[in-house]
Amino acid sequence: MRATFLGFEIVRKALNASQKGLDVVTQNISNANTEGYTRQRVDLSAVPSERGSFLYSNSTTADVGMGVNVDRISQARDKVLDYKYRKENAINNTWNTTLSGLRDIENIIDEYDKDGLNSALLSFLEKLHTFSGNTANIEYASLLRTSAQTVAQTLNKYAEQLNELENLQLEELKIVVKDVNQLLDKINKINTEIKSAMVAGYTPNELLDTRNMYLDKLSGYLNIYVENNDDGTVFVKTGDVYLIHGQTVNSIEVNPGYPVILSDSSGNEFIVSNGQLFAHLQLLNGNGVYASGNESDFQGIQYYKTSLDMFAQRFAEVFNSLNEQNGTPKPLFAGDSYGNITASTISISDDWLSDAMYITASTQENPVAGANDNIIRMIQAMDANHVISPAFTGSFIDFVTSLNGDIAMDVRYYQDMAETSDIVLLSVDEQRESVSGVSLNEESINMIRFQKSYSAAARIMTALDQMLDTLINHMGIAGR
Amino acid sequence: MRLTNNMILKRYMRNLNTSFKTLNKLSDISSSQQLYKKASENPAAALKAFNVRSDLFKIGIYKGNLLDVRNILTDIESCIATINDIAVEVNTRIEQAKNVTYSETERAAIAAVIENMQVQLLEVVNRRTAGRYIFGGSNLTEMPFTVEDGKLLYHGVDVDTGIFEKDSIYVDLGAGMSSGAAPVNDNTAFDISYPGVRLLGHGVDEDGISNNLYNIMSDLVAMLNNNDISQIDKYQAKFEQVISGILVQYADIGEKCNFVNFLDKRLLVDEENYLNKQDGLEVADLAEAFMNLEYQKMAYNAALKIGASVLQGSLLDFLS
Repeated sequence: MRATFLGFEIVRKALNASQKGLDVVTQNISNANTEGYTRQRVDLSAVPSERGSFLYSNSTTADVGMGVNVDRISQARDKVLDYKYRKENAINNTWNTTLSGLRDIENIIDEYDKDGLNSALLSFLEKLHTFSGNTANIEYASLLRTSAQTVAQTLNKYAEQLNELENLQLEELKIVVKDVNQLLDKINKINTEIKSAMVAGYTPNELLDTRNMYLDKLSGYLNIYVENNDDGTVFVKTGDVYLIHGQTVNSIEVNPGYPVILSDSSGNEFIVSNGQLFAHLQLLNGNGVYASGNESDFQGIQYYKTSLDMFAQRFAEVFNSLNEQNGTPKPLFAGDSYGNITASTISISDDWLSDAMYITASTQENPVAGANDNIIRMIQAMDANHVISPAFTGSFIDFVTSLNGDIAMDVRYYQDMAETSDIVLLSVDEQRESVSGVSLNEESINMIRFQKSYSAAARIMTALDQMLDTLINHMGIAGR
Repeated sequence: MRLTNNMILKRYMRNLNTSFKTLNKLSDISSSQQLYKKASENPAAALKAFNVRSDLFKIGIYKGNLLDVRNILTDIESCIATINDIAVEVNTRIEQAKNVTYSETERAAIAAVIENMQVQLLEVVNRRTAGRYIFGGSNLTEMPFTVEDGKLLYHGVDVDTGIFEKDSIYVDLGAGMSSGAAPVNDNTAFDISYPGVRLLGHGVDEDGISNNLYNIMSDLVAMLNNNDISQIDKYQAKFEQVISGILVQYADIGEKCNFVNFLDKRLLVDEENYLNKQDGLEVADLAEAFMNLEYQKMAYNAALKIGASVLQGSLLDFLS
C-alpha cells in the first residue's frame, strides 16, 4: 500500500535538495576569488523505501525509493595534493629566500658594474708603480698611502655591510619564528573549533579552509608533515618533532650568536631541513670551506666575513713584513688595539699616517734617495701567489675575483633552482586548483541543473495536487 | 584535467610577467649596450671579464711606465749627442793647439774654450727633467756632479779614486718581472737608472791618466795653459778613447729604445686582443640587441592581445 501523501514528502526533499544545490552554487560563485577557498558540493543520496520486514507485507508490490537526501555539503579537496604542495612550498621557499639573501651579499661583493675591492687593489698597484720611479717624491708617496687607505676602507665598508646584513637576516629570522609560533597557536585553536563542530554534527568547511591556508603558509616557513585525525584535528610535525600534538603546541625560539640555532619549548635544538627558517639559518651560519664539524658549508654571510678577514690579515701581514727594515718592524697596516687585523679593523698604521715616507723604499744599508728595490718587491707581492686562506693560494686580486665568482655562481645556481621550483610549485598548485578551484562554467551549469530540477519537482507537486484534487473533490460525487 | 578561470588567469599573468621581464631586460641591454649588469647573470663570462679588466688595467700601468722610460731614454740620447758635439769641438781645438806655430796666448785661448766646454759638459750631465737628475743613477734628487778644487766629484766622491758600485732603479714593463732571492732579475725588469759616472768614466789607467772625460779635459786645459804639448798626443788619444766609449753607450741607448719599442708594440697588440675579448664578453651587439628588442615587443603585444580575448568569456555570458 502506498500512503496517500507520500509523494509530497518526496517532492519536499527534492525541492530542498535543489535549493541546497543552488545555495552551494551561490557560495561557490561568491568565493570564486577567495584565497584558500575550496569548492563545495552537495552530497546527495537516494533514500530507499522504508519497507522493513512486515509480517503482512505485500511482497509483490514494486517499491519506489523515498526521494533524495542531502547528506552533507562536502569539499572537493585532495590530501595527497596538499602534501605535495606543502613539501614543494618548503623547498621553493628555501630557494627563493636564500636567493634574496644571496642577492644582498651580491650587492656588497659584486664589482661587475661598480668599483670595489678589486679596483682599490688595482689602484694601489698603479700607485706602487708610479711611486717606484719617484721614491724620493713625497707627493707620490702620499698618493700611494691614500690608495692603501682606500683598500683598508673598502674592506671596512664590506665588513660593516656584511654585519648589517647579518643583523637584518637575524631580525627576519626572528619575525619568521614569531609568525610560525602564531600560526601554530591559530592552528591549535581552529583544531578545537573543528573538533567541537564535528561533534555537534556539521561540516565546518570554512574552518577547514582557514586551517589549510594556515598550514600552507606554515609549510613555506619550514618542512612540515600533517597528520589527519578522525576527530577532524591535525597534528603537525617537523622531522620527528611534533609542533602540534593534541592540545600541546611546541613553540620555537631563536638563540643568536654563532652559529644561530633554534630550540623548541623543551630546550632541545630544533632542526629544520627546508623552508624560510632553513634559508635564514644557512645564510647566517654558512661558513663555506671554513666550516668545521657540524657547521653549515653553505657560502653564507659568515663565509664572506671569514674570507675578507683572512684577506685583510694576509694582506697586512705581507706588506708589513715587506716594509720591515733590517729586522726592525715598520708596520704599514694596523688592526684594533690588541693588534688583531680583520676586515673591519684594518687601517693604515699611525706611523704611516703621520709620515707618507714611512714606507720602506729600499732595504739597502744606506740607501740613496731614489732607490726603489723594496717597492719593486711590493709590486711583485701584488702579482705573486700567497696562501690567503686554507682553501686559496693565489694573488690578492685573484682572491677578490674568486669571491666575486663564488657569489655570482651561487646566485646563478639559486636563481635557476628557484625558477625550476617555481614551475613545479605552480604545477602542483594548478593540480590542486584543478580539483578545488571554482569554475564559473561549471557553476553556471549547476545553476541551470538545480533550477531545472527545482522546476521539475515543483511541477510534480502541482501534479500531485491535481491528483489529490481529483481524489478529494471529484471522486464519489456521482449522483450528488 | 579540470580547468578553472583562476588557473587560466594565474598562468596568463605569469606568462605576461615573464614576457614583460624579458622586454625590460632587452631594453636594458639595448640602451646600455652592456650584456650584463651583474656577474651572476653569466658567471663564466663575468669571471673572464674580471681577469681581462685586471689585465687591461695592468697594461695601462705598463704603458705609463713605458712612456716614462721612453722620455728618459730620449733625454739621455739627446744629452749624449750634445756631449758628442762638445767632444768633436774639443778635438778640433786640440788639433789646432797641436800646431807648433801656435803661440802661448793662442793656446791659452783654446784652453779657455775647452774650460767653457767643461762647463757645458757639466750642465749636460747635471740636467734635470721631470724632477729627476737623469744621470744621477738611482739618486734622482741630488745634483750628481760637482767640482771641487778642479776635481770632478760624483755624489761627493772623486771619480778618479772612488769605487762605484752598480745601482739601479727598476721599472716593470710587463716583460714578466720576476725575482729570486735577489730583489730583481735584470732580464725581466727594466733598469732606468743611468749613473753619469759610467757615462763619463772613472778611475785612472796604468799611465795614471784619468778615465774621466771631464778630468782629461782639465788635464788638457792645464797643459795648454802651461804651453806644454809634449804629452798632448797621449792625452788626445785617451780623450778619443773615452769619447768612443761614450758613443758605444749611445748605441746602447739605441738598443734600449728598440727594446722599449718592441715592448710597446707587444703591449698594443695585447691591449687590442684584450679589448676584443672584452667586447665579446661584455658588450652587446647593437644590431642583435635591437632585433631582439623589436621581436620581444611584438611578442609582448601579442600576449596582451590574447589576454583580452582569452580572459572574457564564460557560459554566463550566453545564458538568457
